[in-house]
Amino acid sequence: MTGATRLGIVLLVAAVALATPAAAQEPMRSGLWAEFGRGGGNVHLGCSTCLEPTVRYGRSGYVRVGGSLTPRLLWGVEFFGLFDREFGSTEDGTTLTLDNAIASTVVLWYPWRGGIYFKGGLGLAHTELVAPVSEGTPEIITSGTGSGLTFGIGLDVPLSRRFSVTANFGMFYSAIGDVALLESVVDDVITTVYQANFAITIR
Amino acid sequence: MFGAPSLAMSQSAPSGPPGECSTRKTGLAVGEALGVNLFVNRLDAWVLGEETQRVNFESWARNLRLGWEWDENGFLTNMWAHPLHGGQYFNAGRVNCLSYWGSVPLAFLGSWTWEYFGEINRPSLNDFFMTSLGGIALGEMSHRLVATIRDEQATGSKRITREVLAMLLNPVEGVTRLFRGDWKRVGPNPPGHDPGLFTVQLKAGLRGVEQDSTGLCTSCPTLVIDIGYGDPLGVDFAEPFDVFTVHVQVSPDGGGLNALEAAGRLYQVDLTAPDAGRRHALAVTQRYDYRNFTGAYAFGSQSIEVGVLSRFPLPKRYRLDTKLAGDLVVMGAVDLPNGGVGERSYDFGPGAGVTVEFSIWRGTKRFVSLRNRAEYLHTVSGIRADHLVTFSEFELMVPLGRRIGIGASGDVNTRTSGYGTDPRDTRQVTEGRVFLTWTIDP
Repeated sequence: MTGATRLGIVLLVAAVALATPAAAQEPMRSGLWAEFGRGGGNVHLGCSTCLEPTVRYGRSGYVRVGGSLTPRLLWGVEFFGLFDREFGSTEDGTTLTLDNAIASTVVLWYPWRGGIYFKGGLGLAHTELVAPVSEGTPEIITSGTGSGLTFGIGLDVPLSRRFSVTANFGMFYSAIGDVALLESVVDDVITTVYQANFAITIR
Repeated sequence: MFGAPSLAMSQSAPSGPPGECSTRKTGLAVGEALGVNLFVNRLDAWVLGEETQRVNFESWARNLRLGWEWDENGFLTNMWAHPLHGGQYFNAGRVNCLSYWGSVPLAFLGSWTWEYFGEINRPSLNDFFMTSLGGIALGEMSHRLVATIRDEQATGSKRITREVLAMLLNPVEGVTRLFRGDWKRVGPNPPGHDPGLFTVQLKAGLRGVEQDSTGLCTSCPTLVIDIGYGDPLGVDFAEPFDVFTVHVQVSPDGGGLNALEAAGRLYQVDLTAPDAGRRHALAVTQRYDYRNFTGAYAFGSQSIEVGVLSRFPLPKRYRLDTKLAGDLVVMGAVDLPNGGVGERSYDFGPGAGVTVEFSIWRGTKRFVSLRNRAEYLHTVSGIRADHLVTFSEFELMVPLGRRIGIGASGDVNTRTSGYGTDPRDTRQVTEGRVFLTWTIDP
């Protein structure tokens, strides 16, 4: 069992155990807040000449900090990363691992009284690809930076006025452009990350 | 917010949204947003015979599996038509009483579903950016503008004329109101019908354009429309786009739509007391930019700007307004000289920029304005390159009466592009204009 899984189970159990008394408490959505999440998901790597996308799985995590515009509208900055180094797989003799990070400005909107929220954000994305040519040959590292876009939906379960646990699902798009890989250039690379996280929110 | 009139009087923003709404209809809003897709798709497939619209389960599965790509549509289509389309998704929410923030997800939902399920082509990421973000900006502005056009107290042909005009600017709202029976319903106008500080200024005249010492156009007719809605330092922040500006330039023999620049206030914090002599405020603004001077250059962007707005009193009731701002270009486009694929002769990329503005006002009239803006773009689709685009703009206006005036303006626009190890490509476009102005204060 991985650390992220253990953390998720602990948070889920805590949320279920504490949700009933906490439901009577109105979560405080004012002032500054910070959220720390861990989870996992997959990344689709596509390009303009790719016949099929390359799909990899990996761990993800994020840190989100910000302020409250209104009790139903929060603003923040999010740093998200997905790393598949531990899950690097081999296809046709080549191991390809991919790290994807997005720094974005996000808006969280709570349309109803409960803890369901929608997230949207825009920012910068960075993707790094690692592919050793063959055994004993140094790894080729290439990377690209471009536009990042994220959407998500989540559920806050308040443990107290200042602490919540959160389950959320998000999509992250990274448009990083051309990247040089091996002896060729991969045109117009776009990565799409789907990930699920558990998180702790402090207000 | 260069080129748009602003007003000095301090007053409260109109309370509530521009359209009078009592019940939020979220389900109907989602249905209408998706209905826009269904309508456009079937119209294209059945009436226009577009093969790319003949979608089926196989095309949906393929698009979901393959994911995003960049398309090859022309600049006008991608940077102007798609944002207009996105505004319909957004206003499916606004006409059903959703707030600005409540309608934002609809713009993304409508665009995302169209990209994956509305065409057999692979979903286009640039379309998703432009349709969603541009749709939000243009959609909210059209929502507010048509509220000033409609008159709930009018009847007969006057009423129908206004409703039809509003529908042309904002089809989804017009059609929804038609089916709801709102076109004939008489009652009090919503607060948005009379937003207070709202000015439309028409500037008709001649222009000359020169690119790198080569004349492209001399004494060509041109029309500029500047719309100012609210005053950032005169209206307390209430909700997104309670203050916005629109700048349009059309030249019949110069490529048609030359410019469409729109900027709406998303949030603002006053840094000084409302009654202070010198006012400062920190403002967050959503920007939409489209510039297409055919034969010279093309630039477009969706960006978020953060800046400090200031107001300094001058003698004899004049005042100096300034802005110092930085912006993040979420997705921009810049033309690719002598290159491209298909209809597309420009590249996409994110970037960042800075803007410095100065303008001198007296009352509601602006006499002098100066703006310098620089935008950096890094190509992520197209030939890998870094671009620096700068705009330096100057305008002088002389009022001849309450509504009539004369003016002159000039732009110097430069663009420097670095393509790998190749020598930098630098181009400069200069434009001068003289015009008569007519100010409408609805």
